[in-house]
Amino acid sequence: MRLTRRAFIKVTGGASLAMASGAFRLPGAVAGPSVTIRLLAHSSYNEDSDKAITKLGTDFAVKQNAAFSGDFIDQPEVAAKLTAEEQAQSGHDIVDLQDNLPTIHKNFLVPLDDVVADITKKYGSFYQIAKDSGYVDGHWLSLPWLGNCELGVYRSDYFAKVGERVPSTWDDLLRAATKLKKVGHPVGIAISQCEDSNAAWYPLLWSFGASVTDSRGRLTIDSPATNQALDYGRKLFAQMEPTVLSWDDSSNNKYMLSGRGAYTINAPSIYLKAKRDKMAFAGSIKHSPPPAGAKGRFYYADIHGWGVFKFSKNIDLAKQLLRSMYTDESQKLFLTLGQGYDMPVLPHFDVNPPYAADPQLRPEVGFSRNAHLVAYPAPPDARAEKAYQTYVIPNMFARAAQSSNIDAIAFAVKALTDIGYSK
Amino acid sequence: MSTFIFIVYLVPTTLLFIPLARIIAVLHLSNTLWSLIVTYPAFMVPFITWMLTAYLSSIPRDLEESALVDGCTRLSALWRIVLPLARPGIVTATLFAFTLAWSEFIYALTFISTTNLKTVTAGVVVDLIRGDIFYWGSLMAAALVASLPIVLLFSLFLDHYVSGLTAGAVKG
Repeated sequence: MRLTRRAFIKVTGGASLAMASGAFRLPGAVAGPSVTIRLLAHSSYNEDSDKAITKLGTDFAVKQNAAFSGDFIDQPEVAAKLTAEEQAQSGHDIVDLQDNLPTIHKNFLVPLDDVVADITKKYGSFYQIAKDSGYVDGHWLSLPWLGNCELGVYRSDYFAKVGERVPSTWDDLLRAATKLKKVGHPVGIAISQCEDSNAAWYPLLWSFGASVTDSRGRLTIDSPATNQALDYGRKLFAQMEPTVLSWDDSSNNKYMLSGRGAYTINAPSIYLKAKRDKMAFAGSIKHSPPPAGAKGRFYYADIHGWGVFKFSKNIDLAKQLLRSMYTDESQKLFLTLGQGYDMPVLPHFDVNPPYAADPQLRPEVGFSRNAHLVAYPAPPDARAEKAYQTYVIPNMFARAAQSSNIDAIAFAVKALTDIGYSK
Repeated sequence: MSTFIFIVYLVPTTLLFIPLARIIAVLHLSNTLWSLIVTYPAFMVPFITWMLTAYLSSIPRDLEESALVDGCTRLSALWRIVLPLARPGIVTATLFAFTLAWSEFIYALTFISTTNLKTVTAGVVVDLIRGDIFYWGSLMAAALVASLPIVLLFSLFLDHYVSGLTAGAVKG
């Protein structure tokens, strides 16, 4: 068909008028419900945890004649999403902030002191680790919501086979690891660039008396205690699969669930998966506190809390929703559906959580009382998060396992100095 | 000029998504497929321009001039002579542009929140990994299905990669 000049002008002119008058709108640009509370969270290993949050949000929204929309994405992708929304000054009302993130995003977050005051007045104070995460520069910028613990996960049948009991100390673990390797069930702890590796090697470092910094944030990684920890790491690596140097977060789960592994450091997801899939050896997967070193036993947990963006158009409603998530009923629902993967961060709800009925999950009860974030013994800051995200400590142990302590510590000092630490 | 276009192409999407997020919010396109339709040219146009500049400059100017001598206008010389000769380059640029858009991750991740709107590249990672459990079966299946359109397109247009179309065109 031949398009005349007159027809062309008619079509393009009409379209321009339609766009100018608003008759034509891009699909999807249509306004939604009058009020929608939008929440962004990490997707939990346990899908029911996400469903619990959605139910709490939806139930609240219905009462408020509003709508609720929960978006759950893989944890590593949350950072990019937060950055984009902060630059756009638009997006979700409530966001999931893990560990050190409240301090990094503090300029964009509404203080939640009033919400926390109401909750603590009724249920008492939060665990210290939860406060470390959410309380920034004199204000609660994140309402602590849950903790994910890192436990010793072991096969009781394999340990019994080699005449060993549950390892209480790192030395116990090394002794057992030598025997377990001989019977074809080596210990497996990631020494690689993944969160599980951070979760294992930071507490080991602390238990030897070493740490990235002192309590004032001054660099202390180059120390005799770090040398001892690296010596230990090298000995343990010799008793493990060499592939631990390239493991990701799913690797130790697969390793244990395949039936080969005898011990790892992980959240209860390995046991919960075996139980859910009715694996024959589910009953043999047990949990224990992380092993102790010469300077004591140290616990590591991830804390997730809720922040409210300053640019949210529903700040008051968002705060009300957060309050409604801290009632006896709400917590019972969340902790029941959480199945033990998610722990409470208020001691009040940690006395007898629903999952404690399972003896294999009892080591979780009270876990958060003595747990620390990676910045320990200093308060959380952006440098600690960057060291965590760039896996400086696992990389240091990996270098020590393959070369020398001097190289490994020099690497860590340089990496941490580049991040912004100084002596 | 081509150096400038190339430099524009070198600006990483991991940096560009930050200002683009603001633009998308101003246009009220957040969490819509239009956010991707509007922003993908930001990295595709420089790439295609850079690629086609190199290809078009390899087409001898003599051919165009011959067409002009034979009575073609500038436009008809472009239409009748240059574009047919440039077809392998255009096809190649289209294929690469499609592949870039198909495999793009950071915009799809940051501009889209709702699962049923996510592109396959972002959806596979964001929805099929939950904590330390990777749904390997679904991940592998999704990766295979996602690769099929690319494989199909490249298979169909493989011959057009051959850029020797102009060889000998200006010889006696």
